[in-house]
Amino acid sequence: MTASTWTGRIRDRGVAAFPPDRLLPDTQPVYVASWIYVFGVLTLAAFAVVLASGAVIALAGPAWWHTSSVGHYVNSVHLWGTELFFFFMVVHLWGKFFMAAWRGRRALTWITGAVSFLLSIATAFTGYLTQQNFDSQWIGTQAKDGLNASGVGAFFNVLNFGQMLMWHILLLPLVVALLIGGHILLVRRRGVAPPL
Amino acid sequence: MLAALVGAVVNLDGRPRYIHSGWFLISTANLVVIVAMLAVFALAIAAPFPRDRGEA
Repeated sequence: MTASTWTGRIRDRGVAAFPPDRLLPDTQPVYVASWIYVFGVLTLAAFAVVLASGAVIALAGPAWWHTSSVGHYVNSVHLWGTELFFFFMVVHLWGKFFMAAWRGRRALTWITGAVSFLLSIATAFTGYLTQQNFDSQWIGTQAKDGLNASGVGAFFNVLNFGQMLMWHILLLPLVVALLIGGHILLVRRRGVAPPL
Repeated sequence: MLAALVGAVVNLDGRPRYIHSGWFLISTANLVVIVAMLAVFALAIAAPFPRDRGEA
């Protein structure tokens, strides 16, 4: 029986697409017992560290992260969390590429992962631009010509510190987080890709 | 303490080092990370995964 309200219809579709035992499974196929299947969740864990340390940095502000020892520490956690995020994500990407993980109607899972990777690079890039040091000035001045030549300069001005900060702490992390959430839901829906 | 130990092995406060041969140019730090990723990838494929004792 179809629900008569829009909220009921959304609920029915949600439950049909993601039954509770599929959304939060307590078992996985036997082939998941391999280290190569660990790197997706390691990437997620690193992403959580990056978000949490970034939130602390955003709350305390530049005068804190540039001058105090605890600020330096949290800033370093943010940097090294990002390093590990990319390290784990690249190993995850290689593993999924070589097992052709887009098989079995998993094309959208692959695409959301690939786009998340590309947007994560843009997010890290805006982070380098907002370090407020000579390194960020160098990166900004070197990148502006290439980005202007691509046509995005009017909307994405790497020499505009305020704009780059907003891209870094709000717009890009929000989109990356939504894409990663969708990626995980698709993994739940289609199941973990089997090895070749 | 750990930072001091690492700093004693690799000077992280100096000019970056590069490996350069003809058209090929890469910073040593980037090369180390890429080699580490390849090593971890190979280990993730080859290393046995721990199983519960009850499993066959």
